[in-house]
Amino acid sequence: MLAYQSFTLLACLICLPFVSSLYEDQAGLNDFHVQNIGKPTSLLFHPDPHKRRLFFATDLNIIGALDSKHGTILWRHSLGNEEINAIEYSGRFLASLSGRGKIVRVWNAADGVLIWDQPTNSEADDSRRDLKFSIRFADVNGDDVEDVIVATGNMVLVFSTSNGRKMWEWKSRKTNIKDAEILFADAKNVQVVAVDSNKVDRDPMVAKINSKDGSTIADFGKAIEGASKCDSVSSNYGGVLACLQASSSSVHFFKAETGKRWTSSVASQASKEAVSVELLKSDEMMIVRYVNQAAIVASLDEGTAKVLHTFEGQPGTLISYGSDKNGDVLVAQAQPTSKGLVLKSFHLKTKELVTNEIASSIWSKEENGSIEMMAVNPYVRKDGSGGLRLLLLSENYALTLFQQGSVLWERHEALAYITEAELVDLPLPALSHNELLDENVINSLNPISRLVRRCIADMTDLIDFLMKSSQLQTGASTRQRAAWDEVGVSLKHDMHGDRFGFNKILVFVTSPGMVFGMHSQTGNIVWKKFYGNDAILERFFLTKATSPDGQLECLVLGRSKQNSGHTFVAWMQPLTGAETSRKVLPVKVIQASLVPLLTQKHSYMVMMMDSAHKVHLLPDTPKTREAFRKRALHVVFYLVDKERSAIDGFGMREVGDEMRGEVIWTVAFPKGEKLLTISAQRMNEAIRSAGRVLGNRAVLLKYLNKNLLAVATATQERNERIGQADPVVRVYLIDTVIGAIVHTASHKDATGPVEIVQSENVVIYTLWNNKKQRNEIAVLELYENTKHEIMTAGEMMMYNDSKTTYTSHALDKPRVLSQTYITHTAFKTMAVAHTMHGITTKNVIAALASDQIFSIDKKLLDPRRPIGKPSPDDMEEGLMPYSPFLPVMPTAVLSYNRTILQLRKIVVAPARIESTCLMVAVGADVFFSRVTPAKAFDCLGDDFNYTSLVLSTLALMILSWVVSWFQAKRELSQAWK
Amino acid sequence: MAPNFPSRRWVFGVDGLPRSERNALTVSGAIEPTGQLEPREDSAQVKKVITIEKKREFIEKRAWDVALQPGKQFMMTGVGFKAFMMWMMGSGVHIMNIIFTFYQLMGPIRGLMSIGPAFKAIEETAKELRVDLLIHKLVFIACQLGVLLYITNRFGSMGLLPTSAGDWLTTVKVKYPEEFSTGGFPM
Repeated sequence: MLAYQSFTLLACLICLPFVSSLYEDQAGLNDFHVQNIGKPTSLLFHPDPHKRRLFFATDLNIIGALDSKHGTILWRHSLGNEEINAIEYSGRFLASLSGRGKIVRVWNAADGVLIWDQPTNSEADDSRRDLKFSIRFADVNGDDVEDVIVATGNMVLVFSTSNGRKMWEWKSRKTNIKDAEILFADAKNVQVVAVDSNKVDRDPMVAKINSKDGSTIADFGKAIEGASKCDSVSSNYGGVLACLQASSSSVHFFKAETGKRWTSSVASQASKEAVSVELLKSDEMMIVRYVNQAAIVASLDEGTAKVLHTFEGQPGTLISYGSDKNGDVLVAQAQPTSKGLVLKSFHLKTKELVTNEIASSIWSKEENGSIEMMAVNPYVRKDGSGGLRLLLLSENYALTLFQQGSVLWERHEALAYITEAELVDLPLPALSHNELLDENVINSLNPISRLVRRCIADMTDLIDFLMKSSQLQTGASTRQRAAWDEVGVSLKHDMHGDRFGFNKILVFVTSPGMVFGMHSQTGNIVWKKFYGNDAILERFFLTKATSPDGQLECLVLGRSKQNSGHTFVAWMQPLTGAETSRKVLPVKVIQASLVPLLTQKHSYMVMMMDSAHKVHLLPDTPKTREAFRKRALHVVFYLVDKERSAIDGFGMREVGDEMRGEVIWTVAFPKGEKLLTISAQRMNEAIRSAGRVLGNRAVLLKYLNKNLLAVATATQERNERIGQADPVVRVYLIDTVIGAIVHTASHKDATGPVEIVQSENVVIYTLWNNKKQRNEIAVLELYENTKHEIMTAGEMMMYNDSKTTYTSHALDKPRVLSQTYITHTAFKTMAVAHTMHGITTKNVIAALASDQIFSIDKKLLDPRRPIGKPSPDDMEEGLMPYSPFLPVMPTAVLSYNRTILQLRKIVVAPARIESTCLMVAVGADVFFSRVTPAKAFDCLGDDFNYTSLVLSTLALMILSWVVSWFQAKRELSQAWK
Repeated sequence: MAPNFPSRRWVFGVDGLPRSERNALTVSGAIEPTGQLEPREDSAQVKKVITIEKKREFIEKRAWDVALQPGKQFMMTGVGFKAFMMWMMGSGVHIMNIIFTFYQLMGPIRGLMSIGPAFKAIEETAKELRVDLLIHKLVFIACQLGVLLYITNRFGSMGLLPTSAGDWLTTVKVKYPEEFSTGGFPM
């Protein structure tokens, strides 16, 4: 057994020379990694501007620190599914409360090292989304060291900052107290304010807790007498509680330390009601906001509040404040205007009002949407004067830092929410080569003129290369505008295609409504476009992917925000981001797809089905309608219904002038069977060979069916032996033209999540083995159902018919080979590395649970791997002996030492050379890399020694010249003898 | 006494005969000393008469030699050195092996081409003596073909001959679907 295992290991090692590992100095050469943080939910500036730290927590549950001067990430951590509820900074520490108030963590603020974490055992209600959580630093036990105080649900806990030891825990006896907030804490007592979760009677109530041992001094007395209903409650750390009563335009105060209560009235602004009150954390001041977005900064005086400053109300304005290291508060207002943005800041101490106007080229409502959040960071310069940094989070999830009215940096956090990604080819510069790549041209030329043409093209290329390299030295200023470029992106970026096809534009569609064009060589954003004002984007179609003149076309499809969810379409040029047209269709489209029917040269049409099953086309012209009508009989549209656990296939039927979808088949899964996921065949996958040659040189013909849909379901099956229900995962292969179930694979004791990927005749899926508690990956290979393998050339000829097409109506059921392997880690998602002509092995690119990208050799996922000792034929075929474990080789990790946080999706596109394809992985981060499943066999590697080639050629030339010279000399001297 | 020198005579029509035979025909023993009238021995005087029969027989033998030569040669060197070489090379498909086998293949083909020159030396004599060389030529061709067959078989065993199904796989076209289906979860 040991011998067998070592043999297996040896075989694995021998058979795996094709790993795409890279050398240390190659990291970052052909790949890039854009790190994002997501949409911030809290932002905290470090009070010392020289520290340049900006702490954040985001809705992707990432916590970390940014460099506030450059906007780069200093450190960050993803907490996975653990929602971050509150963060607080003090001294060397950053504290976080996460998992709906269940876990407290303290991080080293400088480098993000986790110092400790502790559970709170909070019983916070998970169903309520508006719960408040608070975490604070305060010295509770009087040892001059700040401790961490956490209020979550009806609990208050105190931890030692240095070691995380729980000092005490206090629990309210009142169960209806849900939103506890720390009002005040010092060495004598801790005061907690809580709002009764009863919505009708939102009474702020205060409890006093002994800060030594956590015993109750006074439990929840009504804080504000006479105020039965607060529209807005706010407290500052100084121990003052404020309650706004909108109806009477008055704010009731309560100072917990002294028990003093008072009321002050805030006059309505332009007869608009006040909506909220916010006490400044470090000053005895408050901000009162009104219905029309106006706000005042006022004192907390009794009687009538003394208004320090009034901010005019404008729609879309946002007010926020911050304090510098001296504690001086600055209140800032950001106000979008037609000309851009106006930033006003009011210094509370000097009463100075500074107004900065930002041009619309930097920030505009059209490109950024509304302002969602603002963080203010006033700072004191060395000469004592004040400065202001203002961080703005816009609706397009752009984080912009303004310093004195100019932009210091900008981050595009929408890149953390990519829903669709596509790689668009940059047009090739030399037209002579385009022509030579065109098959019609090749066929029309005779070999000699082809050779001549090619030589000429190569010469032009060489001259071009020499010119270009001199251009590279002179810099980007000499860049010429490409013919297709109306915007000018080709002046800023290298927008020339290369013959290897590595230069591409990555088009990303994001859920906040941003569409990005990113350069594949540099990772720089080439263009960006914001649709969030008009629509929620859902789909992206590249309708014209190639064109010699570079006039490409793509369209984004979404739900309009204005027209009650009607479908919004916008056409764009994917290379420049220029929008050509847009429209709102008066229907609600439920499914859309690119149809391989040409509308004009290189341009495909998009077919859509609305909620009434009517079929629409884009572009909708008589010509496209005619083209579609001709093919309509061969088009089937299927809709997957997760709730019904069924799939409906719609055929096209002409009703009068329009096309309608009509159910022609339904695959309904048995009751209780839950539909997990689906995976369809890739439409544009290149397939080289129709069969597989075995070791004895017989042939298995592949079962190639582009209309195959793999569906995974989960159900419970009653086990008669032990009399209880076991989970079962089933994978169905459905021919979506006729709705026939072609094959079913059943896995007992298995549960989801299931990830499926299809390629040619291979279906690969992952599942969780519930019984053995492990991840498994299964592979199905489908072959034509011949009686036996096709052995001789004569037999082969029989299968070779002249037909070039097949129909699903005439396909037999396939013969299925399958094998399952154990993986040490779960795979989040998978993709197949497919190349230009489909000759290179189609490795599986998988996202590991550790957010790394792993390339699995197809040889390892081969159902023909022999069990037991491999026969000579198996060896001839290059089959590895079956081993139940799928090894995760570190050298096959494409993302080397990088972690692509919250990896969700992998998109692959072929390059123009056969050996290489391009992969972009998106999650919170974006990672792009070249993938060579069988090494770069068709081009010289990066490590090829050009110098030695040139030098040795030169040396040989010199040598031969020297030798011939000597020879001539000798012959001469001999002739004289 | 001075040594006896062999006496040589002019003999015609012996070209194509091996040297020993030729010598036997031309040398007629020692020269008698001058003045000696009587021959010393009668037995030394036996005249060797070249009969047509003998010549024919000889040519026939020669022709067979030429006809069987490739087979013999292959058996000699083939079974010996070449077989050893082939065995060393194995039946794997790699460049040295292919080159070597190609070189082997050239032998019989060249042999078939050179059927004329091979029989040329004896052709004239054979014509004179009315010996029919057809059968010998056929045997020669058969021998060369035999060798060729052996080497072709070797090519076959190396997998270089397109006899199996796998060699004709590329003729099977990848077909395209007539129908088109698409869809997914509703948006």
